[in-house]
This record gives sequence, structure tokens and C-alpha cells, in this order.
Amino acid sequence: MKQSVLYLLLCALFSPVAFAETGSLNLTLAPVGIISLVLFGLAYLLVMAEEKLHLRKSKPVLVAAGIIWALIAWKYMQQGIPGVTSDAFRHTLLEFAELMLFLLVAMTYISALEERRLFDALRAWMIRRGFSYRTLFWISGVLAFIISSFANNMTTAMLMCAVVMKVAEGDKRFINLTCVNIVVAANAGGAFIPFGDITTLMVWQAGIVTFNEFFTLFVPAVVNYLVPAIIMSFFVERRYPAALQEDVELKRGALRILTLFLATIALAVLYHSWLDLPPVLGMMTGLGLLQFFGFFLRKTLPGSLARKKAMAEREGDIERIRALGQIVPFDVFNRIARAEWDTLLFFYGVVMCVGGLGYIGYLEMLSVGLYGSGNPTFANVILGLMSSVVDNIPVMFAVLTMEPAMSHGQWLLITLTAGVGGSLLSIGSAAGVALMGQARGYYTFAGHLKWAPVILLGYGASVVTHLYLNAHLFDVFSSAAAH
Amino acid sequence: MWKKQGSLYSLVLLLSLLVMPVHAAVGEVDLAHSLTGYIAIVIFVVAYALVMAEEKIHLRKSKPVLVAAGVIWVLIGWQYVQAGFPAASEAAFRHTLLEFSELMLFLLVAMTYINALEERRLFDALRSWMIRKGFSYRQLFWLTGALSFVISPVADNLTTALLMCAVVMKVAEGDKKFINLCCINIVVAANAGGAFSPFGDITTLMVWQAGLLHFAEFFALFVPSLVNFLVPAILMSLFVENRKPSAVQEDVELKRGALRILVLFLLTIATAVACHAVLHLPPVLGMMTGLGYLQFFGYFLRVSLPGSLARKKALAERVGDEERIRALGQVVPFDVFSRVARAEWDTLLFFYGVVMCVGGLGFIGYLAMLSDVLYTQWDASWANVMLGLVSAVVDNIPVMFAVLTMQPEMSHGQWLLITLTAGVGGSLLSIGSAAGVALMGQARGYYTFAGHLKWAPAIFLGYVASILAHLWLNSASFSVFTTS
Repeated sequence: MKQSVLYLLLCALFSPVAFAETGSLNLTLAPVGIISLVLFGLAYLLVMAEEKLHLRKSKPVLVAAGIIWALIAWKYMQQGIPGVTSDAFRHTLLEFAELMLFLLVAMTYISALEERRLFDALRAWMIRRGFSYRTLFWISGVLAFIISSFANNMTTAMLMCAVVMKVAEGDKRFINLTCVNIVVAANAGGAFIPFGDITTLMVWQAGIVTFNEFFTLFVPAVVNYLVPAIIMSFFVERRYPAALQEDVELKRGALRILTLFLATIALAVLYHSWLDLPPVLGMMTGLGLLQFFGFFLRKTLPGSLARKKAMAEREGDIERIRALGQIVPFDVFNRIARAEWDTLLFFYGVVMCVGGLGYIGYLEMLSVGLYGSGNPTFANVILGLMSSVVDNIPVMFAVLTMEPAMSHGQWLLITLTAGVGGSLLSIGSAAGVALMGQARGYYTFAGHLKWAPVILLGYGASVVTHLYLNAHLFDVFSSAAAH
Repeated sequence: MWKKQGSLYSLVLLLSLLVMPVHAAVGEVDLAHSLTGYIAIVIFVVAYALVMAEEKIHLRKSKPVLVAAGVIWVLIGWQYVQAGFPAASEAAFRHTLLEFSELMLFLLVAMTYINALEERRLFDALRSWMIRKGFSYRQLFWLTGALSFVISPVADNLTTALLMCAVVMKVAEGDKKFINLCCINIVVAANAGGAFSPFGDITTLMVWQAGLLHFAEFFALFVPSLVNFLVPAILMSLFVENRKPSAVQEDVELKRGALRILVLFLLTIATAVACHAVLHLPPVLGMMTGLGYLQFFGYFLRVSLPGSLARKKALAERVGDEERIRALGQVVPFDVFSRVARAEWDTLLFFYGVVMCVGGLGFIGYLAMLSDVLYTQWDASWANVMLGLVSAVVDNIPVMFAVLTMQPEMSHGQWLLITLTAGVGGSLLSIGSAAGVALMGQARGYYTFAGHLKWAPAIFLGYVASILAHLWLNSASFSVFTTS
């Protein structure tokens, strides 16, 4: 027992990917495994029926995750190997925690910007410029595609969504359509750059494909975005947002908060690429910066108000004086509290459920079954489709762990499909899940599902484009083993 | 004032260790004697100074530690990248983050339940019951303390303290001095109650799980723990005014489902304990599943609200109770998510910052260095007593972790001693234990760092008394060694 603590410590400290995804017992055919699979299916059905039942989506998955892991642990207890389950659970929990804290900080920033009326101002600007709905649809999509190639998909999507929500206030159909478009664009934009997406990064870091080769995926990624976007744009009414001529004044510090947000994202990227530390550390530090700035805003509020009041009095602007009297100080904790808990808890449930199923052995079974068939193209395309239901990180992880002998073209294919396959369903990608929380009631699972055929068309087109354009890469094999 | 010097002393101790030549590195790169290490220590001390000055400058406590954690890990990461092993620092960071996440999710669920019970007016009802019973402030002080001591060996310290604090806050609404005193008492009692039961406290649990002591051996700590609770409690009770809470004769009606939520809460704690004891899974899984119960029950409450309202209205109409009909018209459905959102974020983020900072310093090698000096150069008893004091400043989990990692040759009596001191040493300062940190969040403005510090001498007296009690009562165990 003494050694086990030490061993655990060493394991945790010194091996980056300490725990394999699959447990030592193969439970795929045991009753425990099958019950877990059924439970997961049931929970998913409840999630899909969210709008009918008004049962928020986090509830079923939370309980399902608890039961699945309890079943696994019970089985392992019976076999006399209890310690490993808790390690596997902890490993999965860590994955969730990183994503959760990341999301929490991003949500806090966006909520702070919203409170400072930045999006109101942007909306007023867009209306003044006379953008139609269709222009807006294209602008938000293209921006999401471009920004997500260097920034995080999720943050990009959330920013764009915030703008759309403001401009088209209340127009459910348009917001849903634009959100679908943003999710597809953000996922596609991340697929062709090693930094753009976690799965892409994983392939790059495994050392299988060189940095430059990824850019051959640029055209397929563009196709993946454009095909559904063009079709959807036909369904966007060509009208103008309600032209309220309002004069929006940014609250104090709005632009500085935006700057801090960009600095935070930069910090997260730098932490990752320079220091090899998880990006979440950069995000949390950025939250600290926001808090300090909030402190500064609160401290300097009386002085700033007095200055503004004096100026307004000099000009005799009575309305402005009244408006200044109603200003409340900025409270950063209030912003954190407004994060979408339903979404964060749903994320917990899904990550834990899929982690549990992976630990039982289903993910491995799947990839073995697929690559064992001898047709890697087929396997890669199917795995991409799978990644819209399960998280694409464990799928990619399973593939990288298996290391099937594939050409560079095939490795790029799986990079592409795992990156953009998640766009098919709203729950398939982090961006989609985040938007379901942000635009709750507007962008929903069912709303996204309606457009799945169109997105599937884009998926097919991008795969075909890749096979055609990059045909020469399908003869290139790595001589060096990965890692 | 007295204790401020005490905590400064331990910081000085930490600093003074730097000059001693010891080779103990937790990370692969020895940073303990590098500029990076020194800068990290200075940053941590500055952040801590800002935390202590929270009440003066009104800078909430999470802010300095959040940034400090970021900077410390950047320094470490940068050094490791230069040395050529980036993966090691990444793994260490993730490991520390995991520790935080488990605690955070655990706390989040506990806070949500307590918020929900509060919203369902359970604590209001308990308060009006206590007032009707005519409990005086002094009785209340003893009642909450004793209950904390009894409940915390079974349940989690933190949850116990949160529950008791909620009751006190309600009964003594607004009486700052009394609430502060009661909170201190609750924190001391909860920590003491956790020290003698393997399930009661995380550090106790760690010692038990390391297989160093048998389950039954821990109960030898019962009397010392009791002494630890009673000494400061008796002293403090002398300062409790013996008056009664303002006897507002209000009729509190529990909202629908209040008792069922309480049952679910107990069931959740049971699930967490069962997860741990039976399935060897982290308790946080049980807590999160329990949050699912609450959510489903909230759904049930919401769906069945119209029916229930109609029934109650019909009843009231039959009786002709106009006021009641009006009251029923104002009932709003239960929303579990607004309960989750009302968790104390300042506290949770503070926890993040502290865990990450201490984790970083530990990775640099300072914690190992500290334990090494203590156990190899000092006497084990003194070392254990000192570590207990240190755990008032730094989190006791990493301290215990460091000790377990070092595995000094110690008798069972010594292992029990460190279990005791690490468990109750945190009571000395409000930031020394999870219970204290949580109450600082829950009773913000009433129970504060400085308010707790004023009573540190009394708590210290209890600390010394409990150690003497252990040395005297369990002297036999000091000659028992584990052979394995």
C-alpha cells in the first residue's frame, strides 16, 4: 500500500497521458456494458426531447453518468482491481474541468461585455450601416471561419452569436439559422490549422503529419463551410433589422474589457504554444485580470462620475445628469454567476458518460472494427460522422492510440472529418454546445437537426474535394513511427 | 495582533528554509534555489498579504491569488521549457488542477443544496422553531458547536459547517459579533470532529488510505479532538451575551418540497460516501449524481406546481382564508439553476488560486524541502506539531501529501499525531481549512479573517491541550511501528 501512493504520485506527475482510454477489463459484452449503453441512449433521447418535455438537458446525463461509473466501479470491485477505476474517472473529470473552467471564463467575459453594452453598440452600428439580414448572415459566418483558424472555436462562435442575438433581437428563425452557420464555420475554420482545433493539434503533436501539410486541408474546409452556407442563405429573408434609431453609449471600460479579453485569449494561446501548459491556466489568469480591472472601475467610479457630471452641468444637459445618477458599479462576480449552468452541467454529463463508455471498451471496439475492415477511407469518414454524437477528442485519441498504418492523405482525412463531423449535430462540437447555452430557446438541438442534411452535403463535398485535390498525399507514408 | 505575528512567523520559517542545503525536488528541475523559486515565493507572499488586507482595501480575496497562480506557473513552465521537459510541468499543473476541480464540484453541489434549502425556507423554519423553544444565544452557541462536532465525522466538514452557519445566520440575523463567534466555534468543532474519523476529513482519509493505520486506531483521537473543540468553546462561551434573539413571532411556512429536498441532500451525501467507501470512486461523482436528483425533483416540482396550487386554493376558498389565497397567487416555481448560480464564486476562485499557488510551490520543491528539514533535522513530534501550525497557512492536503510522499519512519502514535495536527491545525486561521474558507463566503461581512484571528490564542490553547492529551492518553501507540 505504501508504494501505491508513491506510484500514483509518480504516475500523475510524470506521464502526460498516463491512463489509457480503455480499462483492463473488457466489459463491452458484459451486462454492465450493455446496460450502460442503454442508459446513455435513454439519456440522449431525453435530451433530444428537451423542447417537448421542458426537462433541461443537463438532468438526464448527470444521473446517467453517475450510474454508468458506479456500474463500472462495481464490476471492477468484483474483479478485485478497485484503484484503476478511480484513476480513469479522475482522468475524465480532469478533461471536463479544463473545458469547464475555460468556458466559464469565456462566458464571464462575454457577459461582462454585454453588460457594458458593447454588443448593443455594435448592433446600432450595423443598423446604421444598413446591413440586411443576409449580409449579417454572411459576415458572421465568414468572420467565424477566419477567426476560429487562430483563436479557439468556442470563443469565436460565442462572440459571433452575441452579435447576432443583439442585431436580430427575438427573430427565432434567423438566429437559429445563423447559429448553425456560425458553428459550421467555426469548426471548418479550425480544421486546417494545427492550432485551430484540439483534434488537429493532437495529430500534429503526434508528429505524424508535418505542419505545412495541414494547409492542404484549406480548400476542403472552405467547401465544408460554403456548401451549407450557400443553401441556408436562400432561406434568409432579405429584410432589414428593425431600424430603431437608438443612440447607444458604451459604459465605462467596455473597450478596455474587450482588450483584456483579447489579451486573455492571447495568454491562453501563448501558455499553450510556448510553455506547454494547458490553455485553461491562461484563461483563469485572464479572469484575474478582469477582476482587477473591475476593482479599478469600482474604485474610480465616483471620480469619473463627478467629472462627467461637472461636464454635463456645464453644458446644461439635464437628461444626462439623471442618467449618470443611475449608474451602478461593475460587479464581476455577478457576471460569473450568469454563466449558463445548464450547459456546463450538460457538458459534465456528456464527457463523463462518453468517458465511461470508452473505459468499458466501446470506443476501442469501434475503431478496431472500423480499421480492421481494411478500408481506411471508409473508417475515417464513419469516424467523422461518429464524432457528431460522441466527443471528437476521445475518438481521435483512440485512433492515435491504435496507430493504424495509414498514408498522410488518410491522416489528413481523419483530421478533417473529426474536425468538421461535429458540425452535423448541435451537441457534436464545443462550439455548438456553447451556443445552445448562449442562445437558449433560439438555437436548439432540433433546430440544428433540421439542417443536418445540408451540413451532411457539405461534409460529403469536403471529403470528395480532399480525395480529389490531395490525391498525391495518399501515397506518402511516414517512415518514422509516431511519437 | 498576536496571531498575525504567528502567521508571519510561519512565513518566515518557510523563507528561512531556503538557505538550508537540502536536495529534495518534486519536479525534475531543481528550482528551489533558483531565482524563479524565490520570485514565486515572493509573489505568493504578496498575494497572501493582499488577501489578509481584504477588509481594508475591499479587494475581494480571489483576485490576487488568481493572478499569482498564473504567474507562478508561467515561471515554472518557462524554466521547464528551457530545461527541455515541458511535459513534466504540464502534467504537474493538470494534477493540481484535478485536485481543485474535485473540491470545487463537491463544494458547488453542497452550496447548491444549501441554497435550495434556504430558498425553501427550511432555515427560516428552523430559526422560528429555535426562537419558539426559547433558546438563548449561549444555548445556541453550544448547540451548533456540538452538532457540528457530531455531524462532521460522518458527513463532510465543509457541508456540516455550511449547514450550521446557515442556521446561526438566520437566528441571530445581523448580530455581527455573535455570528462571528459562532462561526469560529463551528469551524473549530467541524475540524475537530473530522480528525478522529477516517471519513471525516480528507487528510485523515489520506492517512487511512495509505494503509499506515487501521480503521479502529483513529478512534484513539476522539478524546484529543474533543479537548480541541471544548477548550476554545468554553473560553468563547464566556463572551457570548446571555440574551435571547429578538422574538419576532412569525409563522414560517415551509415551501413545497423543503423536507424532500433535505432528504435528497442526505441521500446525496450517502451516495458520495458510498461511492467512496464501496466503489472506491472519488466522492465528487456521488455529489454530481446527487445534483441530478435535485434537478429531477425540481422538474417534478415545477410540473406539478399548477395542480398543487389549485388544490391548495380550493382548500383555502372552502375555509374562506383570503390572505392565503393572495399568498398562493405569488408562488413562483422552483428554479434549480438559479440556485447553482448563487454559489459563492469569490470563494471558489480563491480556492483555485490557493490550490494552484501551493501546488506550484510544491512542484518547485519547497514543500518537500520543508518536510525533509522537519523530519530529518528535527524531532518527529516537533515536526508534526509544526506542520499542524503550517497547515493553518497553507492547505493541509498538500502538507499531508508531502508527508506521505516522504514516508518518514514514524511510530503509529506519530502518524496519529500528524493526523490530528493537520486536521485541527487549520482551525487557527479562517483560511486554514475548507470549512473556514466556505464560511467566509457564506457569512461574508460577519465572519472574517480578522474576526477569526482575534480568537486564535484561544484556539491555539485548544491545539496545545489536544496534543498533550494525545501524548498522554495514547503514549502506548508511540512504540508501535508498521513493519510493512
